[in-house]
Amino acid sequence: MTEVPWEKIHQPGAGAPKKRAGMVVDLRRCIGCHACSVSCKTEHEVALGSFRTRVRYLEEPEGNQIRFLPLLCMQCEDAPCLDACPTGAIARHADGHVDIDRDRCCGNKACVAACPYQAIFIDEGGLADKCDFCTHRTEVGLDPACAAACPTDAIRYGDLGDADDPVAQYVQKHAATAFKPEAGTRPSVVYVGLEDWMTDAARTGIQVSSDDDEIVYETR
Amino acid sequence: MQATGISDPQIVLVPFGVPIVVYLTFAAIAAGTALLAVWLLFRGDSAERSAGRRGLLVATFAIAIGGCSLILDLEAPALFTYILRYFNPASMIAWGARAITVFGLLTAFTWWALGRDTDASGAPRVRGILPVALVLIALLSVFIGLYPAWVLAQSTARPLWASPLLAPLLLLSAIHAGVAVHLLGRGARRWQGSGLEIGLVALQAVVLVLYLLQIDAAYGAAKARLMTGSLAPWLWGGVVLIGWLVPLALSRRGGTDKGDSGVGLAAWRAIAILIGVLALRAVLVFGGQGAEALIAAVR
Repeated sequence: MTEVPWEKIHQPGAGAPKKRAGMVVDLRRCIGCHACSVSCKTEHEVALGSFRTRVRYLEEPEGNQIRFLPLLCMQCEDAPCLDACPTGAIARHADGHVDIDRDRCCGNKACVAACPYQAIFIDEGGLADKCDFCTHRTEVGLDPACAAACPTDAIRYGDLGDADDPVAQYVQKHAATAFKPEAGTRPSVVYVGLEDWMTDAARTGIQVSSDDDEIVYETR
Repeated sequence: MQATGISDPQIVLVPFGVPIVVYLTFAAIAAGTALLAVWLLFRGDSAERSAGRRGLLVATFAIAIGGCSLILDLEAPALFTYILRYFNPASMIAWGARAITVFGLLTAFTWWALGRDTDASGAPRVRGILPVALVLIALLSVFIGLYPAWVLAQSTARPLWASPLLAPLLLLSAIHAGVAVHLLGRGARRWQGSGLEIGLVALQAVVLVLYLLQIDAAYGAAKARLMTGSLAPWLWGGVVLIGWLVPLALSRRGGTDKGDSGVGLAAWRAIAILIGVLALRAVLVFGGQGAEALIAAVR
């Protein structure tokens, strides 16, 4: 595989440390194209059947509308996975995002059980894996793969801790809210256009899996 | 991690599966057996002290079996040493891993040491550093009986696990498992007719009822799964009927070591109690994970 010439891509000033790395997903713009989940799988070579980023198709309870809900690690400020991990393999970066040190992970699934968002999975090597906001991209000034691939600009990555950051202003202007706020984890991924019914519907939203070559549903 | 389809077209992700239930059961057996063994060694007559020593050996094997089950549950079993090499003090699993390791070593050592200092009847004598070791074993037993509840509570995504009542329920159940093992080892004469078993069952019943009552109405579907759904046979049949009522009924029919028929009854009582201990943990582990996982997991 050819190495990406990061030094040529890197823009001066880009990739500067963020106070609180975050993302806003505008569901009013999402068209359910799966560009985010596909680009994520490509970027991180995520195995068939596993997802760092998923898109749930949600059927409105009254009406024939289908809505889409991209889900990924919420990079919580109060992340339950951090405390659950016995080996300390899950740690928080300076910009607030949460990452898994694969050299420490023992694959005991405590983090999987602890995550309210089903954002962590066990990969083919038996280790925990999840979205890391594409650290390798953001540290050289690029957007995460999902944000870069989104054709409608529904996914925006920025600094939620900087009031002057366009993404922080977008969050403020559109009153973005958290998914499953009852979990109390203070997520750094927030949504615009998230409606109450979506949280429940997301528990049964369709997700394609390769485990048994069928369309299956997840419930939890 | 298992992805299992069941009667509904649902996929059920079960981070904590059958090996965890097996671990929790054997950890309970180890903790309860060791706790009562310590009691017998400190307070018992010569026959009971011998039974207490045997109980420590049983506890050693039980925690070893439980530990093996934990290792097998890892998606990458070869990495099990990481849990001991790296330490996250915020994780109850990290503390538990160390506790069961020390517990296993200490029970094995104490069993061995007790065999080297016996009285004329061949019963072990508790002196020297052994009283200290036994107190440590008792403390570790209580911790091992309790800490799974804290591990489950750390999974904040699972509302059925976030209950302070799980800790006393699991500890009482562990002591009940210890009574069962000592029934098998004929070391439970002290408690025959003492009301200990009735007390343990009554307390567990009270805690279980309180636990079911305090489940938030928002999780009514999960509660229904326990009470009347797929887990109901395990709860009412396994825990309540086989684990609690059958042993109590059998205890009214005869003793623990009063001849062959008594031994047979005691064995049946013990087996029934241990089935109840297993069923309780299966109900809690699978019920807490929300979907109709138990059926799928045991298929």
